[in-house]
Amino acid sequence: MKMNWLVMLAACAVLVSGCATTKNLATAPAARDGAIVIETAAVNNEDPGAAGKEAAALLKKAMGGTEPKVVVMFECYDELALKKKAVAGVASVFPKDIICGGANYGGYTEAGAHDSEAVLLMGIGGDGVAVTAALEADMGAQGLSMDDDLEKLTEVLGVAGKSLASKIPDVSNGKLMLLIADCHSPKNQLLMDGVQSVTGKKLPITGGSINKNDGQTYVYYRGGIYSDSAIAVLLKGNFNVAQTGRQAKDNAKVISTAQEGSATAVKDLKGKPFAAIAFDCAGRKGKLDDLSDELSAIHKSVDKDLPLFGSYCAGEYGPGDAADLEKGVPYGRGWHIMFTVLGK
Amino acid sequence: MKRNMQRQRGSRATAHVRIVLIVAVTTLAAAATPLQAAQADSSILVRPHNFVVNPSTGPVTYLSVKNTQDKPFSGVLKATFPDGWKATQSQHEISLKPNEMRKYPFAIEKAREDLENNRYPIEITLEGGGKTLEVKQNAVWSSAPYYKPEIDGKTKEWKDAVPITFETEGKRTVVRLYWNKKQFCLMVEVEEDDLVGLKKSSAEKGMDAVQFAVSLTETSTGDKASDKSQRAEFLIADSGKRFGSDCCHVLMQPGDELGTAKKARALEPLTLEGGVAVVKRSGKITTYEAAIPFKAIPGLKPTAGREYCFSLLVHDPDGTGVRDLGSVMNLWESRRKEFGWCSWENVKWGEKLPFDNKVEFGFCSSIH
Repeated sequence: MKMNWLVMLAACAVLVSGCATTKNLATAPAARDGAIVIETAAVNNEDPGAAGKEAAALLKKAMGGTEPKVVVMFECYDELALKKKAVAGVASVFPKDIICGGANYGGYTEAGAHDSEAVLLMGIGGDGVAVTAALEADMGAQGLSMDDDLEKLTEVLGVAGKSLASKIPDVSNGKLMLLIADCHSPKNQLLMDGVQSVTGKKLPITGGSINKNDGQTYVYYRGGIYSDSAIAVLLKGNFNVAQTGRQAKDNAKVISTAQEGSATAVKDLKGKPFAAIAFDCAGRKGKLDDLSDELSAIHKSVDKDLPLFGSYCAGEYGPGDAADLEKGVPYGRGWHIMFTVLGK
Repeated sequence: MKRNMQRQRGSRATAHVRIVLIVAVTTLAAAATPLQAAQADSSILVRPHNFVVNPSTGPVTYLSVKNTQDKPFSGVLKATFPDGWKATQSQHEISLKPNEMRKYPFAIEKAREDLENNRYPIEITLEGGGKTLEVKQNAVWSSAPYYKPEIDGKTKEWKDAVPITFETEGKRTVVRLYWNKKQFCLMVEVEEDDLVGLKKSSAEKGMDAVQFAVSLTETSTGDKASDKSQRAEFLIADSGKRFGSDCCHVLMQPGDELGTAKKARALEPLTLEGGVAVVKRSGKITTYEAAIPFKAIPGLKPTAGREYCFSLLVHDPDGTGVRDLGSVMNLWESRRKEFGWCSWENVKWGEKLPFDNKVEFGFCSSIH
C-alpha cells in the first residue's frame, strides 16, 4: 500500500513538472573581477500569467543587458492551475531552465510590498557570479508531523538535506546558499541538519519554507513544479555577505527587528552593499497592522534603491537570535526575518 | 465533570490570610460556569487568552488581569503551561490602577498540540496585597486553518480543522473553522433530540439555528441602541427544502445601529448573497456547514496569521436552550452585553444574556 502511494506521488511529481529537467543547474565559474548583477521585480495581478509575464519583463529591463543565470521566483496564488500559469508567464520571458523558487505568502522588493496574488522575482547574473542549483524531490516528509512522527521526520529530512547538499559539487568556496523547501518550521531545522552535515556550519545559508496551505505546497525547479521537495542554489564569486536573524511576534517588534536586523547586517558587511535578500516569516506578516511597515523599517537601514528581495515563508533559514544558538551559524527557525546583505 | 472550590487558608509563613481559589475545570461546560461566578466574587479577575495560532509554532499568548477594586493593585502574575511546554518567562510583576484591565504576554517556545481534545490547562497564580489567587483554566487553540471544503454537510473534509468541543446539559457541540482566500467556512455538529428548522418553527417552538459573529480585533460592542455595530453577524438554519442551499442570513453588518439587534425581524429579507449553507441530520447529530464570502465581513483580510474575533451560539429551544461558545472561553460576567447578539423572528433566548461576540480567534496555515 505504502509503495503504491509513493509511486503515485512520484507520478504526480512528474505530471506536475512536465518535461522540466531535474538535473543540476551549473554555470561557468565566476570571473574574479567580473560584474555581479542582482535585480528584482514584482507584479500584483489577479491573472497569474499576466503577473508572471509582466514581472519577468520588468526584471529583464532592470537587468539591462545582463542575462540572469538564475531567476528566483516566488508567487502567492492559491491553486495549482494558477501557479502553473504564473510559472508559464515567467517562462515566456526567461528560459524555464533558470527558474527556481516556490510558493510563498507574499513578499516585497525595494519597490513595494505584496500581500497576495503576486509574482516576485530576483535575477542573479553577471560574469562575477557562478550559480549551481540542485533539486531533492519526493523527500517523504509530506503529511508527517513533529508531534507524531518526529523520528521519521528526522530521518527523512536528514537524508534529504544531505542528499541535496551532496548534489552541489565543492561548497568549500561557496559564498551563499539559498535553500527553499517544502518543510515548514520547526521541521526546517531537520533539513538544515542534513544540509550542514555536508556543508558544515560556516557556509552562509538563507532561504525559506514554502507556503504550507493545502493545495499550495510547491517548489519550482528549472521550470518544473514539485511538492515534498527542496532546492538549493549556491552562489560563488568575489563578494561578501553579512547575515542577521531577528525574531518577533507582535506588530511593534516585527517593525523594530526589521529595522535593527537590516541595519546590523549592513554594518557587519565588508564592502559596499549591492543587493539584499530577506526571508521573512508569514507569522510576522500576520502581526503587521500595515503590510508596508516592515519594508519601511528596512528602508530606514538600507538605501531605498538597493535591490531587495523579500519573501514571507512558513519558516526561515539563517542565523537565529536566541541566546542558546551558535552565533553566525544558520538555523531553520520560525518568526524570524533572516536578512542577508551582499556587497563587495 | 466540573469541580470548583473556593477556600481560605492561613499562611504559615506570614500569618496573612490568603485567599486561595482553586478551580479545576476538567471538562468544557456551557452556560455561566461556577468558575466565572467565583471569579466575579473576587476583586482580581484573570483569564488566559486562546491560542490564535498553532501552539507548536511558538506564539505569544496573553493573560488578562482585571483589578475590579477602587484601589490600586500590584503583585506577581505567574503562569504554568501544560506539561512539556516551555515559555520564555513564567511571571510578570504587575501594577494595576483601580478598575484597570491589562494583558501580559507569555512567549511560548515549545509546545505540543493536542488536536483531538484541544484544551490546554494553564495554572495561574497571582500574588499581591497579602493574598494569593490560584486558578486553573483551560485555554483552547482557536484557529481556522486554510482549506477549501465543499459545502455538502459531510464531515470528512473537516478532519484537519481545529475542533472546539463543549457540552451543555450533557449535549455535545463541536465547532470547526476553515478559511480560504474567498470564504470563511464553519462546520458545527450539534447533538440534539430533534431538529426544528425554518418550516416547522413558530413563536412557541422557536427554531434551531447556529448564530455567529465575526469582527476585527480591537472592536467593541456599544451600550446604546444608537451606537454603531462593529461586527458581521450571521444565522444558519435548516430551510426544510429538499434541494438547494439551506438558510444563510446576515443579521448585522458593521455600521448598523445596535438597536436593530432587539427587533424580531423576519429572516427571508436577510438572506446573504453568496452565502452557502447545508444542514443535515444524522442520528442525534445536526450538522451545520456554511461558507460566508469574505466580502460580507468588511475589513477582515484572509491571510495566515491574521487575528479577528469570533463567537457562536447554538439555538436548541426544545432541548438545551441557547448554547454559548463564549461560556467555555473563561470570559468574565462583565462580558455579557445587551446588544451583543441580534434577535430574529421566533428566536427564544434564555434567562441570561449570552457573552459578547468578541472572542479572540485567528487564521493559520493548513496544519500539516
